[in-house]
Amino acid sequence: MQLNTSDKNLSTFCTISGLCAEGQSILASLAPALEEHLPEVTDTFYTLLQADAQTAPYLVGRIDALKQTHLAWMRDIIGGVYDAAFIARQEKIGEVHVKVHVPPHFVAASMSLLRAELPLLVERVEPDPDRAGHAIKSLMQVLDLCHYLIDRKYSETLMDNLGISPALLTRLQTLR
Amino acid sequence: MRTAMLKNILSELKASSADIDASAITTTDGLVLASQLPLCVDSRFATLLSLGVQSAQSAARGSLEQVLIKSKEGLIMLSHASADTVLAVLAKPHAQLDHIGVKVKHAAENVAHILATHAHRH
Ligand code: HEM
Repeated sequence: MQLNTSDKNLSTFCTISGLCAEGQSILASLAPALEEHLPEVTDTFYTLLQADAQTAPYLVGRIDALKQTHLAWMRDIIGGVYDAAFIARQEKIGEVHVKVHVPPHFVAASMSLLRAELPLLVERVEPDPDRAGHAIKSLMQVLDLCHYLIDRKYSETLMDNLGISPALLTRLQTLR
Repeated sequence: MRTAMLKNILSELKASSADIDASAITTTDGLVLASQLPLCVDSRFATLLSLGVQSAQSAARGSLEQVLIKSKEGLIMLSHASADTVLAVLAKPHAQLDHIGVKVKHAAENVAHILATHAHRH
């Protein structure tokens, strides 16, 4: 992935992930066609969240606002612009989720759903299998990037609340 | 030089009480600055002290003075030497806490003094 960042861990993530400019631009070119179908994905997502005993309580009194937030986030990920502001927006999600006590397995489950649903959407709007394949590949890589950024910030925020610095956390993670 | 001075404080601390088995100085990030063996020091000590600070704050107990862990084989006493350093002391299970507490406090003050006067890049 093409990212100008001094964040070493993120650089490693991007290098290994391999999100490339070509895939990004194919994905972005499909964005207008994809957009009109995104509300269907959001509706499916929130129907599932409402049906689960763990997630349902989080939606009470704010489901419409959350749906709008989710829709805006999906538009953002297919938009093709993955700059510092994009990264900061993903990190903010991790931070807010700590505040509102949304645990990481909710995000992991949501991402899993999106990894299953979004490729089908791409195939619907792009008849050329080669272009669809490239767009799907990029989309999955962007989802993984978001997942990493959200979870990383979540963990950093949580540790910060506990008074555990990133350096201490690294030492704990590599305890022998 | 600084490490030797810190080690010296730990040796004096051990000599001050037969109940003290071992001790170490780490940063609050878990980096070991000096240790008086035998002590298996790791970043868990720094973590416990951080959790102690947060717990004392959230339970409105004011600023933390010490974290004390008591188990069958002995005691672990954790205190701040300075805002970003931890003094960890292992003592015998029936050690006199008052006596050790005074010695540890004194050692912590000495550590703070050395750290303040001998800046060091890790
Ligand atoms: C792919 C997964 C998810 C993404 C990308 C995501 C994204 C977001 C975003 C963009 C915000 C707004 C952050 C801000 O205020 O700047 C947010 C807040 C929030 N999210 Fe998530 N979210 C995800 C999963 C979930 C799930 C599964 C739940 C609950 C079942 C949830 C519950 C919430 C709540 C309660 C808020 C706070 C809303 C408020 O301020 O009232 N999120 N999320």
